[in-house]
Amino acid sequence: MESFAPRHRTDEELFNALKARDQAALAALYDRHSRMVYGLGLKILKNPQEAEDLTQEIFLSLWKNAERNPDCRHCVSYLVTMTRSRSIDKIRKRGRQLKVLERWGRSEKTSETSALPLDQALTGERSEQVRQALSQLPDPQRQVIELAYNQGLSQSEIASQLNLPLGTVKTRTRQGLLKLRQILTPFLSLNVLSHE
Amino acid sequence: MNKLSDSIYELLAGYVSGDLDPDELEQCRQLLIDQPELEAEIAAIESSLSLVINTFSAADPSPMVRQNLLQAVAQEQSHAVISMADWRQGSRWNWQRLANGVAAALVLGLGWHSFQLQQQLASNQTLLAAFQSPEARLFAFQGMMDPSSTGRLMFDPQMQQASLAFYNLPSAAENQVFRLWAVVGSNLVPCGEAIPANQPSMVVNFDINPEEFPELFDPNLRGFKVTLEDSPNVPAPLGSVVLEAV
Repeated sequence: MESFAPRHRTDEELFNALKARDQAALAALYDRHSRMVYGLGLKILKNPQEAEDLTQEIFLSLWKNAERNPDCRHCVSYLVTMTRSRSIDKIRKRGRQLKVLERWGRSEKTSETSALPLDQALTGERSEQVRQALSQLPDPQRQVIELAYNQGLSQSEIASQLNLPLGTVKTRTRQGLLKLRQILTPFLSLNVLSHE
Repeated sequence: MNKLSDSIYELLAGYVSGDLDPDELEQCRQLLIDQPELEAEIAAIESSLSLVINTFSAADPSPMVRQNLLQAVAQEQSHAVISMADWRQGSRWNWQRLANGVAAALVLGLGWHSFQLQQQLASNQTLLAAFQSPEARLFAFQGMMDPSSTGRLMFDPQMQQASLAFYNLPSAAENQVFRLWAVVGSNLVPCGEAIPANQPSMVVNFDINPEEFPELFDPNLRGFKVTLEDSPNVPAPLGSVVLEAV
């Protein structure tokens, strides 16, 4: 029975359960991906409160759109795309003065992860694998990946910052992701997060 | 990785990163219909991207976000939910908007962490998970006009979070309001803002701080009362006591 526990199901299995309005599936997807959504939102918004609001909005959106939007089945892609686009929307809505205040004027309140020792060990191991994988990327690819997902920049912002055509940024991002997929796949196959 | 052309792989990677233009997106969607086996490649790219972003992320959202999400989903079918992101943009005490938009609820202050209405008792275990500090306090309300009326107020001065729930409140006239009073020593101190009394049940989660809610941080706090008032601005309770937790 253990293999049927939500945390051991693939995203695809959880998404199918989500379409059947299974709240446990949503909880499992949240547990799996909320750090990614919150982390990316926080990188872009620079405001923990807004990033938490955004996290809730994004997962509610996944729940509500699961049936009618076929792209939702690719949960990570959907969550990342939604996080980026809604974060940018929120920033656009801010007045310029307010933006400065919110980015720099407020204290950062974050929740430290209270993981079990085994989880912490696994997290550390995963982080090391990712760092090694990133180090194997050609510099131009690693640069755009880090700017996009560690600095929270949009591809237009990256193009502007690096003085590159947007198409070049897209190509480097895609090639970087494919390279990471190649490098990390053996590790992912050993991971709970894997898609078998 | 070498069975397909590089352009197809890049299309799939672009799909995952969300940077396809409309033509590419349509092409990718058609590709996934024609070759469903490519879903596995999408999943593999997604997994590695998720791993990378998680490595870059230094923190998790607070447990309240998960709790609020699941509460909202539980109520999705039959009850409206107000997004606090939207609500924050409005007035702190914009009762009219609240009353017009969904229903009545008890709004207690700035810095809302979330705001949701629901009519079922939330899981105490779930709530307690968010109130883990030794300073957390729980007050259980008893109905004084109707024995079926209940409620509870949980708050954690350390985490500066609170959750308030009322159930089966008595019906009231259109213009009447509920008011929450803190019992501090021998005094009754207004706590939060009055609300239209047109909703029998409500749950509100919110942030607290000593400046806006000094009564919740007062060492002489003994309990709470909820009264039904004819005016929202009464300086002291004049109406009937609906709920009491002392």
